[in-house]
Amino acid sequence: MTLFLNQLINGLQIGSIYALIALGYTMVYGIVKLINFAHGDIIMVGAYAALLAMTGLGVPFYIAIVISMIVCVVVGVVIERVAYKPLRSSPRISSLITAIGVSLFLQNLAQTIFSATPKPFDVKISVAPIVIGDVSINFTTLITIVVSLLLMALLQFIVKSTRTGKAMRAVSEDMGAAQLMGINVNNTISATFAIGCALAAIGAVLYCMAYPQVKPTMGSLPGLKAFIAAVLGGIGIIPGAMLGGLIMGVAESMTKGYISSQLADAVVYGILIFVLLVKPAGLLGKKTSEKV
Amino acid sequence: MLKVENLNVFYGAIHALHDISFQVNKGEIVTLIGANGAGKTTTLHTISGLLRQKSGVITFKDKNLAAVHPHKLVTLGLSQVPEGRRVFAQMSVLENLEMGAYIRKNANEMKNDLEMVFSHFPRLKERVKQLAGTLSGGEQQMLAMGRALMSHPDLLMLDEPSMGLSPILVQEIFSIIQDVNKVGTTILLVEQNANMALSIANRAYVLETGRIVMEGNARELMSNDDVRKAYLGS
Amino acid sequence: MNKKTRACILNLIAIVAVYIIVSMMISSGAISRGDRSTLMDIGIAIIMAVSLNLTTGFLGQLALGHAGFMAIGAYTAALITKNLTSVNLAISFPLGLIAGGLMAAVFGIIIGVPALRLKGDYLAIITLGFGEIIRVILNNLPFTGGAMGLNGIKRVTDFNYVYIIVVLVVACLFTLGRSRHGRAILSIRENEVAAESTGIPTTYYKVFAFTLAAFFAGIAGGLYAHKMGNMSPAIFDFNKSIDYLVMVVLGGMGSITGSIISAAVLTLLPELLRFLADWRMLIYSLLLVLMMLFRPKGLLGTAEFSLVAIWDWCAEKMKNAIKRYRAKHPKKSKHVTMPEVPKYDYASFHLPVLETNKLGIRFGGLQAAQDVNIHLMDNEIVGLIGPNGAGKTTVFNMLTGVYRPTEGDITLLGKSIVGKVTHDITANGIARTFQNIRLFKSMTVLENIKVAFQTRMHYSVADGVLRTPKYAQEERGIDLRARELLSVFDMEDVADVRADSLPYGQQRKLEICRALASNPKVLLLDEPAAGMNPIETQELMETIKIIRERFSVAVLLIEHDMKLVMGICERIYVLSYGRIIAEGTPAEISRNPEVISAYLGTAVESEGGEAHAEG
Repeated sequence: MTLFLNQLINGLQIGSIYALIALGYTMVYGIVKLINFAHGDIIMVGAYAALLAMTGLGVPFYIAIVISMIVCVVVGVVIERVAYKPLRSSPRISSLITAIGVSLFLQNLAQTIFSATPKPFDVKISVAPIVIGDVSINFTTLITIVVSLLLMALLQFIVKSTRTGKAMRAVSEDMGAAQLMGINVNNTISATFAIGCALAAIGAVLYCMAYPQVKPTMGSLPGLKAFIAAVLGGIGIIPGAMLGGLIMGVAESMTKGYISSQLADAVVYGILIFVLLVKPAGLLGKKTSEKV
Repeated sequence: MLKVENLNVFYGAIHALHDISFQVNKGEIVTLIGANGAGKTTTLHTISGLLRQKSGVITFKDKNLAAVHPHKLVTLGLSQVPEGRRVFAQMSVLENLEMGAYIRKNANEMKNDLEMVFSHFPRLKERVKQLAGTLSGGEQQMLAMGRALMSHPDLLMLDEPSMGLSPILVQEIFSIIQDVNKVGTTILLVEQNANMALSIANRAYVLETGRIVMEGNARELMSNDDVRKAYLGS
Repeated sequence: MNKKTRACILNLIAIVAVYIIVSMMISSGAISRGDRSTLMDIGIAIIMAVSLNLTTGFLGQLALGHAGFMAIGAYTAALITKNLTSVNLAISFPLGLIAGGLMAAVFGIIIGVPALRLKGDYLAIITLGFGEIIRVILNNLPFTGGAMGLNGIKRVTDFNYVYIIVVLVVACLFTLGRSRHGRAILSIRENEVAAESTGIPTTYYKVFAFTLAAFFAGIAGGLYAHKMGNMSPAIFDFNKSIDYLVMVVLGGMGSITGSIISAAVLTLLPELLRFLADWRMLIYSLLLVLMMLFRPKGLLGTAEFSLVAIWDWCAEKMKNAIKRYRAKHPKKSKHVTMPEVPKYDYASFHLPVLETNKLGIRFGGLQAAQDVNIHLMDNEIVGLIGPNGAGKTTVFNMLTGVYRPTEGDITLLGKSIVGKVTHDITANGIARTFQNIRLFKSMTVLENIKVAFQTRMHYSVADGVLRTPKYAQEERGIDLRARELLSVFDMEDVADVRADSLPYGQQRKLEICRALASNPKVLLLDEPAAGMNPIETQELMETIKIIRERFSVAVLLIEHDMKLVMGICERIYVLSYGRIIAEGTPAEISRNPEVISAYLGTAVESEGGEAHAEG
């Protein structure tokens, strides 16, 4: 039972991080129908930014998060404007390959600047773990889960009820019609990237608190898993990303705890395949059949 | 109000519009009629900035539109109901109408506008909460028109509002267009259903392969033998 | 000797000559060991890229797990040669290659059957998932050496093996592409719904193409394993699949020569950039992004590198080469045989051709159609009209098997067709057109028609790849028949233009023409006059009459244009809220008060049938 609860809590922690990153994937996909493969590498950018802010500038942890968010937003928006925007009317596969290229570029750029050697990410948070019976919950864990839930709720509110959020939904459905309404499509898309990247920066810091290491390729794996989480929950759907992330995290952690850590990935992919076969649009996705 | 002078538009190497000139005066219903591929939609897209002209000037309320970014047109008072309706299917009827009023921020005015739209389209009021995608074709056309009216346009451009609608709905839509015009909105109507379009318009222009081949009073055109033969089918 | 034959021989000579020259350079030492290795890498990359192009470019299904199939082939082949030590490698290696291909193909079917039900990005993700699972499983099996990998594989792959296999694979894909099977695969990419309704068994062809691609990838894997000598599952990860996808996209989707060139260039590029040392990968990724930005449709045709001109020339040469090679028809037999179309015996047939009995369908809580009883007699033109959303197209979708009715029955020529799949129903005699035209846009007019002849063609994949007399005979027959059909519609002179470059009216006509190519007994037309002006509509009216006479079909017509409907229909059904509210002759319908209030409105009375809605 203790093992179960511990694994559950670990799973929720890593799952929340996946969910935060997945939100970025889902929002970008929702609006420009692009699988932004470079999104995972934004995590890496965020991690280096936070690390440099703390070690280089010596700023406190919470300021480092803000700096990291700003850096990620700027990088994300620049990537969108330079690499994705010109391809908006090209075949979608071209944008996909471009995203892959950008991802490679960011990784190799980081490698050229910082070298491939991992750097430690030390954040000491001196709050005692909360102990309930045999289970102790780390403060970091708690923060991770709570922050993620809050951010998701905030995002859901923005998209459902604010003017910008509605504009995002309108653009995601029909760019041309949205433009006729007077919506500035370019700015709306940039705003979407910005929000996704800001969330990725927070995700990056939380990820580094769980796995305190920063290296150029660190973003690939959580990026891929977060993307799968987004698909699992139903891509384009905000609560879906959260649900998918948590399921992935818990499944992974349970497999590690009870079966074998080597098989964790297989189980995760297995769940994805099963869900897609049974419910092709993801857990919360709506079936959209082509109208004949 | 809207003035188009010597407009030339190319699709790649294809010369799609040849020296098109026409104008729409305040309070009028003007219609552009013509066959498929004659250049009607191209003309509208050029006015709304989705296409750029090679030469020629478009002015709206004496302002040259060449320098205006497409999404700013609404703020000038120029609104368009696109071909094929293009409502936001996953948003509710109310949200669609709100998007129509995107450029306007005064909540009170918006409330009045909603009432105005509902007075033209009582059917929409019954369905405010419904997702737009679940409406029937005719209702979607009404929603698209209502959405465009929410921006309080001075000039409303309609692209093929009769497309794919049953005869009874076409009659209904066209009588609403007349009502909208009566309360003060100028209308530019692009239609293939020349019969219906000419029956409500003041003036008309006939487009053929990218050129304006005839223009004049709608009633007169309706009784013109060539027009009758080519577009009215009798 | 005609030009084609000469060119074909020239190209065969070229293939052989390249082989001899390179072999000689290798044996004389002019090509170093390292270069030889690169040459083999290029060959393997070509096989991977062209096979992925079959799925992604030709079939149009984005797959992200191609390296998984490569891994299966690599491990299968390696384990065979390692364990069959008693057999000569000259036998066990080819055996291993084929077994590797077959094993990958088996997995192709296992994965393809469920996965190909999904589309677009979802298919991409699910193939990604499968690819990764294959890797994880290889990591954990007792006999694969786990994460440490497999060592001591005999390094028997040499230039000969690679070259021969590349030539075979490429030739096979080229010939397949020009056969009826290739057309079927392309038609799915162009418009899956239309493909199914012109009689293409889409599921079968999707799995077939996917499996064939897996087979080739498996063989490439075998070559790879026996080139490297050792390998671990980690090599065949997601990034490897992405590498091959990049080759396909950069070369141009659906262009085999493009894939060949970009596979070669992208394999060479890291070598060529070696002098950049640490900057190499950075430059590579930058180049990738720039190429996509400036050439979103692929590398071919750029003038930015001086190399490209040569590449282009080679591509053109290669294309022509293969084109001519294929033109080597098993000669002069002017005698054309077409498989006979089964004739229905109408004399003994006094029942309707098509009849529905209490047909109904429910979507969730919504009753979209109910108690629909309609029938069509042979050679009859019948209209189906009604307000928007009344369920007219839904009825068409039930008749063609796109929707499965929840109530009632449909009988075609006396047999129930409820529950049959669309392409089956098409083969049984119902063809249709669509409200929003669905052509195979980037195929030519003639090819559009040929796709629809599928239901009447029989030669196998092997016939197509090997260009047997059976292939030649059927293809020739089809070509004649397709042109003949086009000439009925005065479209023979546009036979070779792309379907999407036709003017609107002609596209409508082509769609009808395509529907007729499947030899229907019943033709369903969904708003054929939509978007036509009165003159075009008038022509359409004549066309429909001609069709009825010449092809002896019954026509069921959905249309809002009252002039057309009233002008040519013998009978009319009026549908409102999913039910038939009236049936009768045009005169009866236009007087029916219920129809006037639900559909026609007042205009018909006042203007005497003037009202028409088109659009």
